[in-house]
Amino acid sequence: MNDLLERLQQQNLVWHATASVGKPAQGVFSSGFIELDKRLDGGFPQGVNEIQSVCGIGELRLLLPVFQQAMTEQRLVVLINPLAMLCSEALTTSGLELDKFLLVSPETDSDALWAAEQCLRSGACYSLVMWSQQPLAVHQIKRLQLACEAGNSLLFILRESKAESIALPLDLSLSLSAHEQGLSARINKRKRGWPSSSFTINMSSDWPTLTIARAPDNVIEFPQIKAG
Amino acid sequence: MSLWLYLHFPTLQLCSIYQRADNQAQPLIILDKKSNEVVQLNQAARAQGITHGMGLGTAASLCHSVSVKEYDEQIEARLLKRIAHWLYSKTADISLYSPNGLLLLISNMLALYQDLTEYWQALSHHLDILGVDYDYACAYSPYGARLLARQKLNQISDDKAWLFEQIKQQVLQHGDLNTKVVSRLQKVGVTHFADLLGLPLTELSKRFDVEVVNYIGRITGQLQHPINFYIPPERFEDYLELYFEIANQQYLAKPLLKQLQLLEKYLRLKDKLATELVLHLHQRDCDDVVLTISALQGEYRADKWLALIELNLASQTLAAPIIGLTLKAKRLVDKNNQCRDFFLGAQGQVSEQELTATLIAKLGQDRVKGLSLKQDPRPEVANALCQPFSSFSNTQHIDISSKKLRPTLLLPKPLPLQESVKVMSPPERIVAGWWDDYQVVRDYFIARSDDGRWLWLFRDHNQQWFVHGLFS
Repeated sequence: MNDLLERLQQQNLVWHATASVGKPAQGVFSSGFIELDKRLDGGFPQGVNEIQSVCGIGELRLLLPVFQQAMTEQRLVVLINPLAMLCSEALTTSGLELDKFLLVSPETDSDALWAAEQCLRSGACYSLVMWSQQPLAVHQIKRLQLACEAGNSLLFILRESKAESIALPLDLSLSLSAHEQGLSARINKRKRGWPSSSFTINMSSDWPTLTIARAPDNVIEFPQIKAG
Repeated sequence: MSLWLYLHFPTLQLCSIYQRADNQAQPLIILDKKSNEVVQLNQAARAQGITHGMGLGTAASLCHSVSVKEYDEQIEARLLKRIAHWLYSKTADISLYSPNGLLLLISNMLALYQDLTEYWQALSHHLDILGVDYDYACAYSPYGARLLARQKLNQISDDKAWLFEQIKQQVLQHGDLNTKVVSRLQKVGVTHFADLLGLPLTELSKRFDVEVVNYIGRITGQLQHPINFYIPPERFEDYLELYFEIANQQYLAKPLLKQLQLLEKYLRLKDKLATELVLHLHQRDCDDVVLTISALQGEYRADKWLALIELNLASQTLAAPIIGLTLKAKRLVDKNNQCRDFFLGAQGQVSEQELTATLIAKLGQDRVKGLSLKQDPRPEVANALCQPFSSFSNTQHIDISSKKLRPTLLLPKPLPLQESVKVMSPPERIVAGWWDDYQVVRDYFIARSDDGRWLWLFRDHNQQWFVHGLFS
């Protein structure tokens, strides 16, 4: 028994809760947002990342730096079953090449998973975003993880419904909610790390129009009564 | 002059019928329906006293339990193609002589093999795997090789004089000359090739037509003999006819394995993997059952494929017994598409185009799209889908100064606004489309809904509010 544990430790397969946090691990993809990178020890982990969010608060804008990284590596970004049409104008304005985007809209869930596995495994695809409301099974997540490993790629599953059970072997489960300065995020589950309380991802420098400027400290709101 | 080898397959149809080893005892004959003659027979039938050219009545009276199959030239032609395909890995120039002969040009191949014996060893060893009977002979002309092989010379030699001597000994009927010409020659006492080749050509051309002279020129190798060489198809396809009908799926494993082993050898020679097989089960008096078996990662080993096929078969119900099997390998992929990065470990190496082709093949053309951008002020016209990798990639072309904030997700159809929002931006007026039938008069706003979603709204000329996009 002890022998086995030792061997697993040697292979770096056992994580100690006391292990120092903050060391960037192997296979981490920077998210481009300082707060998030700090919380995730360097960025999104390679593998299956689940993002639970309402549509329209900035969840896709959160991934744009990842897409930009794909452009520098000259690899594809594949989008499976997006909720609406992707706006080419917005993507080009962010400096993304349209040629590197592939939109796939499979008919059934099993086809979607098949396509996801093919893309992730291929190595041609840097990151894959899948909009899905169907819960995934353990074996499906495992397969997708293996595919990510084979192709050195990154999978995001965006869903509007409640986050899935933490018993699933997801690499990261993140909940997003709207915030005036950008997004408010909470880590529900992650591999080799602890869940976190909610923290703010500041987007005001990237998207000044889409954030509400923080009121300066020295301004006192005019009392409603006196406003007449 | 180049050296030719002819392979004659006298019992091609018989060899192709799947027979179990313990079933060998069962006598089997192949009968030509037109002439009512036994054309092919197995060892068991021969042991019963049946010989070539016997009628069905005689054969049946000699052995009452004999099974009879009808001779079919098309089956032989198909099998011949398969053999040609099989031999292609060892020898390059193959010509088909339907229904049961193959002509190989040896001279060019000898550069790759030490000598003729070694070439023949490699070739015959390769041919023996198929388990078909064959007769062979070589000569310095296609006609000569064909003549000698069909007379079962079964010797390999490049001795020109000796080979010529062998041809001379043959009777004219066995050659490829027209029967009318042969009988005319016989009438003047020319029965063997020795007689014919001894005659002066000028004399011959006076009494017989040019065909005879041409033939002599070709059989001696002095005249060019145009040959159409076989070009192999890229796909693997194999048909196996079953000796007996199979009604139980478990019995299918053995004949299937035989086909899969062929596939395995084929794939190993090509250094490829198959990702999808299509298996046709030909049923008696019923439509074929078509099974598609796929292995995502690609596989070439017969036993792995057999396991996959058996899984597939388990969920099938057959309407009638199976009389034949066709196996096709649909998609072949390169074996070494995994490369190892020093830091990242194994990494897939499929190109973008290959990946897209795979997706389109499975999901359909209209389900895999790329993004494109047109120079048009109307958002729904400017942002359109297109075929993958056909978009206008030169982004510098787009005017930087006109970079306006656009939502990342655009609704395919604007929806009426149904919630309370707070408008956060000055209006952006778009009035366009007066040049075609799709006119747009809109004021666009960026707004934030109460639950914090950023919406792209517009107010049309009727003062109606619509949501057109999400700053997702």
